[in-house]
Amino acid sequence: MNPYIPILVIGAFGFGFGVFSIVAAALTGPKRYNRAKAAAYECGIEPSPQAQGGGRFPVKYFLTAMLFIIFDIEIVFLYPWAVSFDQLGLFGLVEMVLFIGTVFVAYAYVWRRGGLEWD
Amino acid sequence: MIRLSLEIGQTQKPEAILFYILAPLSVLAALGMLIVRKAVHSALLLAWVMITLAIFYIALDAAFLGIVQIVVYTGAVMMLFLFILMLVGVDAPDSLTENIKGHRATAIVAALGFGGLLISLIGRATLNHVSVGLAMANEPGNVQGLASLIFTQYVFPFEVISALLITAALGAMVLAHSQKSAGARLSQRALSSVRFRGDSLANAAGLPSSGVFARHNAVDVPALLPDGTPAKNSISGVLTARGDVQDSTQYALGSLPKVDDESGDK
Repeated sequence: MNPYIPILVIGAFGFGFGVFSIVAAALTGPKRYNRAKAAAYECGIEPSPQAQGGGRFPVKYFLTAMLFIIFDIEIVFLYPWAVSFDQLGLFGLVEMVLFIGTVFVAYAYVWRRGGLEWD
Repeated sequence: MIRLSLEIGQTQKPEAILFYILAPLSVLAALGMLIVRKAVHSALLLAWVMITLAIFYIALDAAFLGIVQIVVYTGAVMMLFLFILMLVGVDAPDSLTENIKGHRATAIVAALGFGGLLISLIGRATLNHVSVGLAMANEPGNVQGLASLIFTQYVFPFEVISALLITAALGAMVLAHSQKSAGARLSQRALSSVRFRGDSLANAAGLPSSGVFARHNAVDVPALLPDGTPAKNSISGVLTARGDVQDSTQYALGSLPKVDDESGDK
């Protein structure tokens, strides 16, 4: 059997679940609308029509996103390294330690400059 | 004689069907990404292009590349794009005037240069090369074959990538981080001593809690102080900035019932 058939089946299940949920909710759900139901969900506060500053977010999130991407790239290299760890031996361990060590220089720099502090 | 390594056989039928269904969808989405007006729609179409690329990679027996495409591009890079959208503002209008001098000419030169680079790279990889075939390249397993190349033959480029990642962190810090003066934040102990050892004890007790007792207790209603004025510091500063503060005097009792001073003491 083709190993990708289970993935295809999961995809079909996911699609079917989405379609079923929407169709079933549209068919069986009661449709009694009022002002409170149509309002945006907020915890006890009147929703404001326009978010503060035109819906813009602080630029601090950008740093978080970049740090995540650096980790992500690091992990991409860890996958094949972990799979062939036995074949690579001590050499593989040393080069991965060097790699991670160098990447951690970036984190040490960000930490030391206060990039991990929120305010 | 130039040997085209691409002439190694016919594409198998299921793969061909997959390609003929997904390739037009992918190209259409890529075109739509450039044409649609809303940045969010553009980002969604970009995500679709990235996912179809991953499916193509997996169909070409490059399973690892396909998964990395999903993890890095659909996961991380897409998230970065959405973050940029959030930073700029979803409703920000796009400017139609070019205010960078020589912007168009530079873009055309850069595009031509990039195209030339791509053609030369693909040409170098395909022309005059005897192809070993997919079966041999994937012989130890797709990931294992890749690992044995990355961690032996291409160790140096691999280690250089970590330096590249440092550059990325540095760039992000320079662009997005503003350094505050050191020691700006007071510790809990310092805050306590300011509160109790200052000149007056007026602010020593805790802040009043929001809401008007027994009439309205929502967080956007400032507390009424005993003298009848609303306490500004009983609600979050964020709500004040958003202009979401309700007037608490409307919940105040019109007249306070008279307290009989004599009766309590006896």
